[in-house]
Amino acid sequence: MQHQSGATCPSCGRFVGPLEKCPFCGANIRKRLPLKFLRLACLVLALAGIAILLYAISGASTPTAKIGNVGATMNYAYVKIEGVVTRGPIYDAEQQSLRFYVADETGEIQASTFREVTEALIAARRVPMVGDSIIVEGTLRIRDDFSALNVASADKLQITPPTFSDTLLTQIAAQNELKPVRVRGDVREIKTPYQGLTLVTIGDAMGELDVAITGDTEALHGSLPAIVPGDVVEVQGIVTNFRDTPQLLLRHPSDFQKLDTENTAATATDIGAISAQRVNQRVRVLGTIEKVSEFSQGVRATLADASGEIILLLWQNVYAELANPDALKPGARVEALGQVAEYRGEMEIVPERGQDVQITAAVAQAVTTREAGETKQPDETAEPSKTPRPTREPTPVPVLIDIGSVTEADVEKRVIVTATIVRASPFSQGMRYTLDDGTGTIVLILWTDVLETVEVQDALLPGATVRVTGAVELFNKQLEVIPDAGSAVELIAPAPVVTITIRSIDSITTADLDATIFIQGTVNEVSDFSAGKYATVTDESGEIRVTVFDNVLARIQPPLEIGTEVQVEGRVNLFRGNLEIVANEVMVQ
Amino acid sequence: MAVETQDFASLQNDSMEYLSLVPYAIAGTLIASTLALVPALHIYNVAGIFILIALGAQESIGGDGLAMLLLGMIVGYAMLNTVSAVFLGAPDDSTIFIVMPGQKYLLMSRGYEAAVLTGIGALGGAAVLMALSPFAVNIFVTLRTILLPHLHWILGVIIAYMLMAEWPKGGDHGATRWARLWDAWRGLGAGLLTFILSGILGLVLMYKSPVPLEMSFQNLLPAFVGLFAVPWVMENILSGTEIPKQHISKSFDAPPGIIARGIFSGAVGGLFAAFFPVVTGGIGGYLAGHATAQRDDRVFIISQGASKFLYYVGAFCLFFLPAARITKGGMSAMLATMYTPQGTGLFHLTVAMIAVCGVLAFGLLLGYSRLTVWLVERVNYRYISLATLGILFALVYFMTGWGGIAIMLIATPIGWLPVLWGSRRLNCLGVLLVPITLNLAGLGPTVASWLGILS
Repeated sequence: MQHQSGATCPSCGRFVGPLEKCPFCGANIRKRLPLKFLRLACLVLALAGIAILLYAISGASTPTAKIGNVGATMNYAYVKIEGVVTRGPIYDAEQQSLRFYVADETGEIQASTFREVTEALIAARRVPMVGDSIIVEGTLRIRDDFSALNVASADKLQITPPTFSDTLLTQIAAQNELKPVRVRGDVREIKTPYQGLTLVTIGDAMGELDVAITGDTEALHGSLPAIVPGDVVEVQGIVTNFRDTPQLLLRHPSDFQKLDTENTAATATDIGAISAQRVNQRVRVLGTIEKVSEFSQGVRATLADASGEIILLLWQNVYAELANPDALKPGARVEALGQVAEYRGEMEIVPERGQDVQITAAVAQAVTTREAGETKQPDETAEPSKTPRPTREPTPVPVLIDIGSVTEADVEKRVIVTATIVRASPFSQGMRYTLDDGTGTIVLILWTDVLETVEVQDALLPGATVRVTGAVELFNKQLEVIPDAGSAVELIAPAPVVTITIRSIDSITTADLDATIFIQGTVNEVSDFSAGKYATVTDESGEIRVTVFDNVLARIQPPLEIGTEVQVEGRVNLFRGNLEIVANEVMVQ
Repeated sequence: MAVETQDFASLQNDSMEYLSLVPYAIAGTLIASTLALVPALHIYNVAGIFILIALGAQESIGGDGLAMLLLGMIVGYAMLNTVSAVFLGAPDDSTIFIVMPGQKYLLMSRGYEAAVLTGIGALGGAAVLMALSPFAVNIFVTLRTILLPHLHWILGVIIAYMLMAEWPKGGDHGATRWARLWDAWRGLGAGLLTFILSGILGLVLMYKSPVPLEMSFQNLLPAFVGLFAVPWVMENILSGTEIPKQHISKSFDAPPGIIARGIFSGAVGGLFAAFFPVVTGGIGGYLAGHATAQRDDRVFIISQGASKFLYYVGAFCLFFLPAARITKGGMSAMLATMYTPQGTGLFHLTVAMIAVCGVLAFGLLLGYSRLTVWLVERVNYRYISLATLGILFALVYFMTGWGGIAIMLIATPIGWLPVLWGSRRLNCLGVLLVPITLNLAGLGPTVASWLGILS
């Protein structure tokens, strides 16, 4: 039924007749505001509201956040961060992404750029590099295991490059981290520990330093200039630390310049001028070998010139690198570059690599070689030396001892321990084992020459029980027991038989999900998350992310760092579509 | 043998650990089901408060416990948010399509039946989730890998469809050509204007939000309250609608075929919304409704129940997906800032808890719907709406301060535009779609600069 207009309630549509108030919904029938006005008012309010909002915020600056204050409730906040680039850039050409780390006085955060922003930064040669002071705006993305700032646009990244100061290599220490420096020296060595990292060792008369050039830097800015050992170079970069050892991180290949000047570090020093004041300095000497003798960890030679004589100490690894070790005989002319050291009042020069020792002429004379199994005797000098040489102390009688009772007071004492090997890892000059007898742990060091004479060498595996006789030493606050002969290591019980197959990374597939596997490779990226660290491990076949939770991380010695060679035992997992390994055990090699 | 014993002991330990989490999920369902009765109170806002509390008491609650509490909450809310949408006309973006048929049922004294039909749809959604769970890793990880590079243009297509689907509209009323043109473009223009204004608001919130930095995780709260909740509450206050006496039916007009069709179309939209970035339950339901062209009111109501359940719960469930950990939806985004799920066992527990809490929430839906019927028959609708408005103001102020109140007040007339000018409220989702699509296309900062938002 159609009611006459005005007879129904405009609000609920029911018949109300002549009433002024609807008995059903309570709405007023007369003196009503036409809906048209409400519509227009709403339209005006909506437009005016947005206009006022735009006007109000147009002059407002983006809030600056301190990195240390970034927390879960700031997820998606658009902020400005001011700081210094501490790591990176890590460039992914396929994804067109850049990652770098920014630190202020309160903390460090990862910043990322993607696609258009990355392309714009590369095109404008404005990629942030380590040491740059930057002001960057972006959106915070907070996750339990990871926080990042997604850079809004290339325009929102202001970069102020560092000012480099001329510095001597010896002045660079671990505490100078992130300091921009310019150094000069000659190229001593060029090596590639793994794909994506080149290390150039440069040195001057006083010291040496590694210059690191990452693959990402070369991908973004081009390759290093062609250099060979002996070239004199000037390098500017940022001091970074690798396992507490300072190195120089190159920001751009053009920061590595070859100079057309004399190699000052190549000037030879008179041996007689080398005194205790020059300990730790690097010198180049030229002289004649007077005597050669082997000892457990290498070879000692007496090198003399007209001004005096000095011990040329060649550790086993250096000796093995010599181009012509057979020529190292009395009468040979030797040019050596090495660090000055003092051992029990005797001056030594200690080269760090084989190429630092050039044997230029030799005459045939007998080499004094210790027979296998022969007890090491105090060194004897055939002829009077200008430097007095102390007599070694008599060897003390070893005592059977619990590892837990070994203290720093026992350093240099000879002890016998019976314990189980819980960890084994190689290092450049031998093998390092961790022994546990239930009362404590101690490190067993077997230098290469000693290890070669251990009859049960192949049985020295985790799980094996051994009896070891050796001297207690303290290294990096860690107590060690160091046998001086292979016969000092006896196998009491072999390790349980365990078959370990090291998998190549490219062989890992989704078919391995949840399986426990072993891989071996180099760590080329490490990042933190709340419950541990992520490490990217690379071998010849590829790379994979390894998730290392805190409980596993706590057992890893030395700490996990970029460049570390590791063996990982872990479970294969799939994370966001990518394979990863969740580590049960990580052994640093 | 020793290995078997060890495995069994490990399994037993895991089982005991998982069982200890069940009470958290149950408690979450009970809390959220009750809070869902408060009109326009979104569970993400309540969860925000829980997150704030949990940040202070994380050690006592524990990450897994908090995750299960939030899971229970989202299951309870996804099932019961229909109640306030049907009886009090206060929808969020995922229930805006339920309001119209829901109100129609309400005015025919069948509000209880409408609420139960959405509950049946939600139970169907839970069944779909459980059926998919064994294959979820393969399906979603593969889909994610395929879709990630294409998000920006897919979102662009969705926006274009949303806007263009309003054509043709009107144009056949009016004495003159200009009157007919006005008739045709009035609603369309309001829809476009709503989308543009809410989009600008979204850009402001993305780059220069007046919300305090420390509460940025609730950046969108005042905008959503202003765009969706306040206009409905205001309209309820102004219109003074009276609800007819409701009938509590013992049976429901929903044969198995209707239920199956409803759940199927709801599952399509809900799963799309659960998985696809930025797409909300409202957009998912809208696209599914159009794609499956279900015209029966019963099918539509059931489909919306299934769609919103799959959107809310499905998206949260993806967070626990082993090997994928897809963070979709406000609840996952909040939880991800402080918790990382570990292991397949937790995913299985999640699926089991969805079933348990879903059934519990359905039971609560029946009870709370009766309670709401009793309430709306006795308490003046205006008083309920006024109390709701007070709660909304208090919530926005508590979470986001005066800056948030300002955003809410600016968003309210924008949210009211479609109501008063006869266009789709879905256009308000420009607040999400515009800034995120522009950002995915790499144009966000540029457009923000044009508008003077970024200098």
